[in-house]
Amino acid sequence: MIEAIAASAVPLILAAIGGLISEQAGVLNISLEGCITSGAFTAALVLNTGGSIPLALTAASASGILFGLLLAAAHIRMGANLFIAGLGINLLSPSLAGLISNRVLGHKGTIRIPADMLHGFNRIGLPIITWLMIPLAGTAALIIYRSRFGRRIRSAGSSPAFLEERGISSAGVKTMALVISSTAAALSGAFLAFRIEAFVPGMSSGRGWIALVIIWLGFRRYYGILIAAYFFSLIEIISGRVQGISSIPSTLLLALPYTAALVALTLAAVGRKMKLDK
Amino acid sequence: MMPLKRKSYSVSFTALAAAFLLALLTIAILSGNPWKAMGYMLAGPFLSPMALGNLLESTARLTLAGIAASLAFRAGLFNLGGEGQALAGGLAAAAVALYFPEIPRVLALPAALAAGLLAGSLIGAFSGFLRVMWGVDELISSFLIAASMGPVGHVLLNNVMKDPESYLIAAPPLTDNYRLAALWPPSRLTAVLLWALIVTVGSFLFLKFTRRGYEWRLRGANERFARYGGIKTGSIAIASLSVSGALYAAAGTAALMDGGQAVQGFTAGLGWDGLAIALIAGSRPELIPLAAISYSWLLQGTRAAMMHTGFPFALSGMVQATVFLFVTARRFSLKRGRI
Repeated sequence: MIEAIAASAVPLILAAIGGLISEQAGVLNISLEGCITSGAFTAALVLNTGGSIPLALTAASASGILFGLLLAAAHIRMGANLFIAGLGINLLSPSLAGLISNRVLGHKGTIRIPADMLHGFNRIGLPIITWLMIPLAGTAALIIYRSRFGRRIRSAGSSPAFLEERGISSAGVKTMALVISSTAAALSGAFLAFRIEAFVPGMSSGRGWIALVIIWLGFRRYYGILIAAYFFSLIEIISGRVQGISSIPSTLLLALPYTAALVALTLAAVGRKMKLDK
Repeated sequence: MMPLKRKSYSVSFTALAAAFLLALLTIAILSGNPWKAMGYMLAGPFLSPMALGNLLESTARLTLAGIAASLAFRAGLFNLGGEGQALAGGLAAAAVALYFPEIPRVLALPAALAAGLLAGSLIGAFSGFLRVMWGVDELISSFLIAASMGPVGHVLLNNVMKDPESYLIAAPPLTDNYRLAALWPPSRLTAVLLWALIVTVGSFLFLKFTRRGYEWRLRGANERFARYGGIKTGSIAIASLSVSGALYAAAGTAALMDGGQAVQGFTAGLGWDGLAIALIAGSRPELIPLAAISYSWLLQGTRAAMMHTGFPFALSGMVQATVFLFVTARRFSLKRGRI
């Protein structure tokens, strides 16, 4: 059970860390959802057409880098509203995936990953990655809050003029933050596809949005993010188990993560308000 | 929500043109018949009375959705829950039609419409309430509510309201007393055109000439200033999100009544399309119909081109995406510039 919770939290933690970096740089990346889809799709497509696991991960990262650059081009170079351009990527990614799938495989449905390709990886690699998430989150926090690079990221968000005075382009730092966060989300999508051993349209099912909620619920701290991510994957696991034993239509349980995110968000806001009123 | 910058309409035009070009290029390259594809994309919606009628009906429906998104924008709020509100509206109207099939037409249509509007406005108002009470960002909350609505709608259509005689995920077809009269058969054109006209004129007059409308715009321009000026910004947040939800629901109800049946996905896309249209028109009600007809032309033309070139893929997602990516841009060059 604990193993399962930790495993299903991997995509959430990766995407949330990426989101945190973009948030600190003042360019909250709304397109995580789309990047998770593109990463999952690219990874599954590469494995399905005979590629290796490293190649699949590289291709997934490349898709994240591309979407990150596209978002940066729209927002930073063309001055588009970050939020709306990010929504554009969320709409573009599944649509593009369907188009490519249709072209390459002749259908736009589920893409299975041959089981023997993932056999070794899922037995040894995934558990390592699962537990690597805890030190990874800590390291990411160290980088963001204690390193020179992190200081630049945070200054790009809080006082870009300060960066410019020191001769560092804040636009460059923001672009970097967007690309890093999109890539992290794409990798998280790839691991999601590995675990499920397939790409299913809509499989990200709100993980990108929940990752954004997690940043906020976790007070932008790595332990907060870890706790929040494990909480959401606990809900995911529970809803999976309930599906097996109850007569609740399984489709209805797809709404559960969103509802849980809304409830958690509201409770946190109520708590904060009460604290402020005191 | 960061306020949207002042609107430049040449950008809107460029974004629409980019979406058009992208769709055209995709179809042209993948179908192997670029000239035919281009012809159908441009002229497809005007080639038959049926196509033209459908274009007008879709324009009317999207005008409702576009104004729904605009009214929230103008009051400084971001309603991202249009997909769910349109679905809830359509389903509520379908539920009235399902459980009271026999009531006379003069009552049936208003009752179903009222149920739809009520459902949408409650969902919208709930996001406003969360924002005013505890400061929950309406953008995230409206999205999360809408995302939960999707599976709920699927279950309702597949279990509770399902037509036992159909193999589709759908409620039974509407009885005649719930259908809007076709104005121009065989096209889908109905009185929804009139709804759209009333809503457009009404919201234009409201924003421009009423005191309440002025307060909404003031809140949208600068919330803090409006609050210090004694304007009840909280109640405006609830009211405008509620109206926005109701209008999205009207669009969903329109999709039900001109189509004649609630089938899985019958309101899909209305939320995103409404946002795209509001952005193209700079959230000005008087420009929404123009934006809506260009956008529907683009969508219907793409559909016509796909049908006639045997290209088996819906491009509406790509069209929406391109508009979203570029519609708020302030310059079209990749040269380094200030943020």
